[in-house]
Amino acid sequence: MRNRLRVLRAERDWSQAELAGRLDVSRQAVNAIETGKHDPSLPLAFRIARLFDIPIEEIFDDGQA
Amino acid sequence: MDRHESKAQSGEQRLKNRRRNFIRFVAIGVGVALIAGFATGVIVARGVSEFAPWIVVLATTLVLIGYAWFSVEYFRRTDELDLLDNLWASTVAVYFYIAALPAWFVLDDAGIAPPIDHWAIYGATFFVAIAAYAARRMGVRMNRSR
Repeated sequence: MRNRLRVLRAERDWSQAELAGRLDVSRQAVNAIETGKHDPSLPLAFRIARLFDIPIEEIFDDGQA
Repeated sequence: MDRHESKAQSGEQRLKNRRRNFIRFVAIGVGVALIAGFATGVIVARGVSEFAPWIVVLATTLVLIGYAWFSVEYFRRTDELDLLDNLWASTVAVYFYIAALPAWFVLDDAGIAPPIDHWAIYGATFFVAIAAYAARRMGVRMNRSR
């Protein structure tokens, strides 16, 4: 699944560690999501959306829309 | 540290604290496991039959309770990616065990292999789990993300 996490993070000038700390996950988890190696669970996807204050579908794209 | 204080910290600081706590937890777990391993090694070296059965049962129960507690705490402290890596490693290891035991049985029955060594299969299963976990941590994926 594609996502805009790296872009959103860069817009706020956050490192992967900064984002990981705010989401309460490891830096490896952030990296795996950004590179598409891990699709986050629904609760984590909601946490990400709330953190960036935008809808989930504006962050993640399953290519079906 | 209370919740309010935690929120006031930067994400990097929170991650650093989380990682430090996790490393401390694992270090304590490994230390306790080493002590338990040494103690059980002494018991086995002296001969288990040298000890009263209740001591052996008590020691075994304590080790199993400690193992269960550590496992539950470990998964409570890890994130979903590490949990997934562990689940994948466990699945690969279980599949290996399910295949290895009957395969060895058939080869033994045919006179090709020596009698089944359960400790060898136990060790190999453990090794497969560690290898699968390491592969996951290095980014190897068996299921392609859709």
